[in-house]
Amino acid sequence: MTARLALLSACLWFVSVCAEAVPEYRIQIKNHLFIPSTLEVPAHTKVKLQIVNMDVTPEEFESYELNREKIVVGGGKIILFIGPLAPGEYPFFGEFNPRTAQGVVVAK
Amino acid sequence: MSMLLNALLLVLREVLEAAVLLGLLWNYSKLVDLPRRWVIPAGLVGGIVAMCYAAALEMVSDWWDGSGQERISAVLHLAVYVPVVVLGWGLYRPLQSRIVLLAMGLVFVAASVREGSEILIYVGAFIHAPGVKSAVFSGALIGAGIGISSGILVSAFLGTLAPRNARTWVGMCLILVASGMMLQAVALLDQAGLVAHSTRAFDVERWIPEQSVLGQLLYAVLGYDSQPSGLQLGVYLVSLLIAYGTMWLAKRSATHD
Repeated sequence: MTARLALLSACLWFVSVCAEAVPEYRIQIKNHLFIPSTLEVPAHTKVKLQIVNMDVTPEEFESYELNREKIVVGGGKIILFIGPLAPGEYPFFGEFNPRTAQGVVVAK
Repeated sequence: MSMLLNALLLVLREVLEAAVLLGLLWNYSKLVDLPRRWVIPAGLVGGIVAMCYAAALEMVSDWWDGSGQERISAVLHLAVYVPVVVLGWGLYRPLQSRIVLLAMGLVFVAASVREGSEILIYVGAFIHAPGVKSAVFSGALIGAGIGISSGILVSAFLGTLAPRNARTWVGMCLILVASGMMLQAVALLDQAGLVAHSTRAFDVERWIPEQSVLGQLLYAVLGYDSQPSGLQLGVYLVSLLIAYGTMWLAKRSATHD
């Protein structure tokens, strides 16, 4: 009985860990601009980013500081994870249109 | 940065890795006395698969809860690394010709798919952009030319070495390139949330910034990361150890025969 209770507790704990929600944020790409261009996220927390490309042409979300690089096709969306990040600013840009597609993740 | 320069650097980065790999494999073929015509079918297959992958990228992006791109890219990185380990052995211990040709072909196809698909997507984005189309196409052509020339230079340099030294250099260069890909594969899996995040191992960003031209070229060829995580560094070192250890064992056993 004790062993079964222990096993049940372990399973419930495992499920709760798996189900623990990761904060999710959304960035749009429109007219080769990131909206919002400044994204505040909690520091020391893993975060899920959804990037939605409203343009018809593809873009590549890239950031050296975040070590992230992923293509999002025109009209498509991508998901990627960042963090946990120490407090600070982490610039990102659109590699296909670097002059306009610029943004920064601010971890606080 | 102008669109021409941006296109030049982007395409150069993508082409450089494939061109350097091809240059190394070209010399490898000479060292093991195999004809180099395997390049033609491998190039064709790589090109076709790259086009298909680029066309299907939207669908692939949705696979496995949005981690399709990362998983496919990680598999392509592995498809370079594993054959390189086999090729390292084959530098000193004879392998069946078809195994060597298959390994070389797989490396080149995987590299072509990775780099070629991104170039196609990038250039394709500007086909209907009259204002910047010519700048992008010109930059892309120049970047491709520089990348291909670099691969030829690497091959030509290795060709001047004595066979014994050439084996060592070709082997080590292949291992460095392939191990760099494993480092990048870990970054991809971290991006997709598929591996536990680990803290930064070291930071050399102030010495060689990743955004600099040198940093980007080192990234393209060796998978350079100025701020790798502990997990990335560990995988990189283990990859180096396995690949180099395999080559060393082959060399040692060949010496004792």
